[in-house]
Amino acid sequence: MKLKTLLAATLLMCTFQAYAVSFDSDVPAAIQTQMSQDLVFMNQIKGSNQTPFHKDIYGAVDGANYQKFFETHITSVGLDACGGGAAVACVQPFFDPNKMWLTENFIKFSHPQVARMMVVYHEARHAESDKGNWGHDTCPTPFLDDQGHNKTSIWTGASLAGQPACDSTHLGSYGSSTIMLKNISKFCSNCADKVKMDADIYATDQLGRIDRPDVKKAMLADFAGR
Amino acid sequence: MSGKRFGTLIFLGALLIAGLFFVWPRFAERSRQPLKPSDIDFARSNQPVVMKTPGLSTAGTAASGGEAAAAVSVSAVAAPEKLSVEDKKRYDVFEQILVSKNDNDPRMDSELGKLSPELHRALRDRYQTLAVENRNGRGAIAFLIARDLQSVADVDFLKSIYQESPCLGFKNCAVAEPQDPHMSGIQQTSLDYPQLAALYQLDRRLDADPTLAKNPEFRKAILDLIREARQFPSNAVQARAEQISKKL
Repeated sequence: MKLKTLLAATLLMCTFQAYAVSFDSDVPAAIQTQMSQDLVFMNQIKGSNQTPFHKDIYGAVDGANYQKFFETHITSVGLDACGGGAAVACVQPFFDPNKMWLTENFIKFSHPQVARMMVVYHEARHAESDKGNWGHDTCPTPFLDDQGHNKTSIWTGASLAGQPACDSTHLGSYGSSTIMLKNISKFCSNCADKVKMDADIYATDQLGRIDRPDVKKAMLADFAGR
Repeated sequence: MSGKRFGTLIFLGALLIAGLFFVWPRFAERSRQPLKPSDIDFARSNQPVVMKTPGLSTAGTAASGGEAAAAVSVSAVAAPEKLSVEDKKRYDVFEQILVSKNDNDPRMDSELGKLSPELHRALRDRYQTLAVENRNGRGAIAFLIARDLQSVADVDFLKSIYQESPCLGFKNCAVAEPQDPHMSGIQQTSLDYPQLAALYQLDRRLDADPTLAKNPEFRKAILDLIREARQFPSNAVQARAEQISKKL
C-alpha cells in the first residue's frame, strides 16, 4: 500500500514537473498543488472531435494543446488579491502579460474544477499583447438576457450594462474559453459526466457575455456543427 | 573627552552597528519580494505606493481570502454503519473524491453511477451535513442523485434544494460579497451550482426516459420541483426550470 502511494505521488510529481510554469516563493503550497492538479487535469484531456472555432484557437480537443496554449501564454504564477472581492485569478497585461496571479480564493472558495480552469484560460488569453490583450467590449445598455431580464448581479444589484465585461468577438477571453468548454462538454472522451456537465453549465453562462447577436449565432452554429 | 564619555560613545556606536545588522536582512528580504499588481497605484502614474509586507496583499475592496475567509475544507466522514459493505466502499469513494477536489475522478462514473436506495438516502443525509458554502460538494451530491433518479424521495430531496435560501457569498452564504463584473457570471454560477446541477441532470434524465414524467406520482413530484425552481431567485435557474417545464 505504501509502495503504491509512493509510486502515485512520484508519478504525480513527475506530471507536475512537466509544466514549465514557475511559482513565486510566496504562493502557498496548497495553491501550487491545486493549480498543478488542475493543469494536469487539462493536460490529460482527450477528445473525439472538435468544432472549427476550437480548431482555430486551440487545435484538437487534446490536453497537449491546452498545455501548449497555457505554457506559451503564462510563464510564472504569483499571489495577489486581483482587486479583491471574490476574484480567483487575474492577468495584469500592463504589469506583466505572461504572469498569472492567483488569489487565496483559488482554494478557499468552492468552485468546480472546470470553473477554476475556465478562469485560468480566460485570463491566459489576456496575455496576448499582440492582439491588444483581447480587451473586453463595453456591454450594451440595456444589456438583456434571453428572457429579457437586465443582466445584473442578483445579490448586489450591480448591472453589467456599460461595464467592460463583454466580448464582441468569439476570439476574445469570454469567447475562447466558452468555445473550449463547449468542446470539452461535447467531445471529451475521458471526462467524467460531472466535468462535461460543468463545462456545459459554465460555457452557457459565459456565452451570455457575447454582445453581438451575429457572433453569438455563429458560435451556436459552431457548437451545433452547422 | 573623558574616558567615561568615550566609552559611552563606543558603546552606542556598537549598538547602532549591531542594530543595522539586525534590521538590514529584513529590509533586504522585503526588497527582494516581487512587486505585485496591488503594490502599484495605477491611478497615480504607476508608481509603487507602498511596499507591503510579504504575504497576501489586501489592496482593493473587501479583501479576498486573507483574514476573514475560511477555506471550505472538508474532511472525509465515515460511512454510515447501516450501509452494506459494498455501499460503504462506494460512500468512501465519494468522500475521497470530495476531499481531493478532483471532479474528473473516473470513479464518479464507474463506482457512483448506479446506486442503491440506501446509498441514495446516505448521500441525501450527507448533503445536509456539508457546509452550505461547499457549493461544489453539495452540487456533486445533487448531480449524483439526479443522474440516478429512482424515487419520489429523490425528487423531493431535489425540490428541497430550491427551498434553501440562496447562497449570497462564498465566505458566508448569508452575506453578499462584492462581485467584479469581469467574472461575476462564473461566481454567480458557482453560488447557484447545486440548483443548476440538479436541473441539468433532471433535464437529461427526462430526455433519456420520457416515461418518467408519465408516472403520475413522479410527475406530480417533478412538477412541484419545477414550481419551486421557477421561484428560486436566480435568472439562470429560472430559465432552466422554464425550459424543462415546456417538456412536461
